[in-house]
Amino acid sequence: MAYLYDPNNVGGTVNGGAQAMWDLKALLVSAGWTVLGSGGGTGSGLYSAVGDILTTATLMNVSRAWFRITDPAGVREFCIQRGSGGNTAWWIRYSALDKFTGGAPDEDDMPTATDVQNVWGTTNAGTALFNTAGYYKYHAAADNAAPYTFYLVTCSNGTGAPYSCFVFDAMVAGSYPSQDADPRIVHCHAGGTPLDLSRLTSAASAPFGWYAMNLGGETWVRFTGHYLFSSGYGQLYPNGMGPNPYTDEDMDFPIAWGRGGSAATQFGWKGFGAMMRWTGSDHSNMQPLSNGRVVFDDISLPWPVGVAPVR
Amino acid sequence: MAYQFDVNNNNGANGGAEVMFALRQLLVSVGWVVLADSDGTTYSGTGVQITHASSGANGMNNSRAWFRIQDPAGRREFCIQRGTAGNTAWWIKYSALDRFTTGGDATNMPTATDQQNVGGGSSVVGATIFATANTYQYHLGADDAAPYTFYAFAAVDTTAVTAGAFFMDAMVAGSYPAEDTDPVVITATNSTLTYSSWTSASASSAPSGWFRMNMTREAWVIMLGHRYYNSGYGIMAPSEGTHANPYTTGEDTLPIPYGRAASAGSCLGWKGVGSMVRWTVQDRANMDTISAGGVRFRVLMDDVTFPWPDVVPVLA
Repeated sequence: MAYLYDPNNVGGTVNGGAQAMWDLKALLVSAGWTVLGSGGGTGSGLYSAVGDILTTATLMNVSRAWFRITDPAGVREFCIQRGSGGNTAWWIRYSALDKFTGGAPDEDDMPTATDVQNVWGTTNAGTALFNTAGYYKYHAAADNAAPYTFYLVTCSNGTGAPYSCFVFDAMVAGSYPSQDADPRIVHCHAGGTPLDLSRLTSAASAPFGWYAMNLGGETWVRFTGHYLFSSGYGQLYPNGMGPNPYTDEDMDFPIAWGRGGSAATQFGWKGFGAMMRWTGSDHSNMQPLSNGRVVFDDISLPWPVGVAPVR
Repeated sequence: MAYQFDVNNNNGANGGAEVMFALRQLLVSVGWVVLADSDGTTYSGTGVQITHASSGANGMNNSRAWFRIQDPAGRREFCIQRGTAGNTAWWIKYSALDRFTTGGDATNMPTATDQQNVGGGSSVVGATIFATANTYQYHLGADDAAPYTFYAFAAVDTTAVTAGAFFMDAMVAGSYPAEDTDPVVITATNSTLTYSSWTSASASSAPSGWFRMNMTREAWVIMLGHRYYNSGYGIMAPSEGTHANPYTTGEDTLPIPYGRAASAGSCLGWKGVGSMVRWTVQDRANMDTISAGGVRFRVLMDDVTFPWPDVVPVLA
């Protein structure tokens, strides 16, 4: 397992979010993902049912341009479309098992899948995922080994404060029920603090995932993260624990995902997340940690060794 | 690795002495060694003096009777003494590395340079661990493989209310800092095994363990368990709501994370994730069992679960 990285990118004034999403596509392809279809957007006359015709970020930056991409195992797929509302707006859809083989895809319409779920946006107008072009840096990483997790995070210039994210995380092997056909969560958020405690633990903004997929009662629902708390010493994770007491190096902790007693339906355990981890201490955004990760709000993500984060 | 059990024991007139003697026997059966003991009158430097749970010669139920027992790796040791206050009260000492090699006679346990008191007892008087004799059932389990975790707990007849507990749990391999030379937590308590007692900063109810053992700033401190909580859907564990496994409709348990958060003020940091004792995720009655495929494998006490054999718990 190795993460491939594309960090410290300036959110350009020309193609904005289209540049970030095109770069994410390129990174995923380098990590083994395959583009199975694409459209050049309204009026482009460009459509491929089998491959990638979006060879530049400029081609990605056309209203309703889209691509379909599958993971290296040929199982999980995303369809990602630039919204008609501009390159800040996107529609992201996910197929865990059934694949985007339906519908009538063309230059500006994505295919469908029987298990399709909206991760971000609900129409081809898209929903704002990126800040105004030129106001942010973006950072991406993708694991080239199973379970093929990846992230794209944008951070405001200067402060490095996360503004938006698109994260695909998996549950740690052995931590989830073996019957779970899709031990994954997908998290998109925009508008600031996409990865802080309140966001990841809220019933209104936590990541999505499948509950009981392919079984009776299957539902696409939000799975909240949980923090570790004791009445005696307060909050341990995130940010209450401090460094490793033996080495003084930074420590983090996998995030426990599930739906607790206050959820009205679909109670139960999802698993411990693999890529996103709670921070042990309260650090500044984009601060590199001694364990080879970097801080985004209240979590840390893998980061390339020796590369200084650019705020 | 396999747990060996001695469960569904009806406690009699010798009360806590029965529990401790049975625990001693169970531990020996899985490889622990009694290195010295005394029935309160006669000392044995080879650990052959105590042979039964009652009072009188060779008995465990005598004031200040004690035994020293060592794990199968020849490393961790406990000295366990019946208190002068009766068979409900015990003085339990733990040595993680240095061993109880100094002193020891008919009424006094030996000492170790790293010894620590467990469960509130700090003198021959002892501290109350168990309920009044003849009022409860007791249950024991011990792993016959490293890291040699074990438990003893008691449940009041019929109601199954907690009537005392003593256990040593180890952190899951890989979950604790590699530099930790003693990744275990230990509890001996007369409190309930609820989230509130498990997570309160009280040495008589919460687990304790070593912080930075054999390093600067080493300290024997309370290591609290932590619950999984959020503002969105509330408590995931322990024991809130009904969180059956969504796929099997069976019952889940979750590992207990141990450590010391910022409010502890000192000795801050992560201990690890416990292996033997796990949080419940479903609010159930004490001594209910958890099964998989029709086979019982854990039992509930308050907010935690212990390994359990495939037998029906006896409540009275």
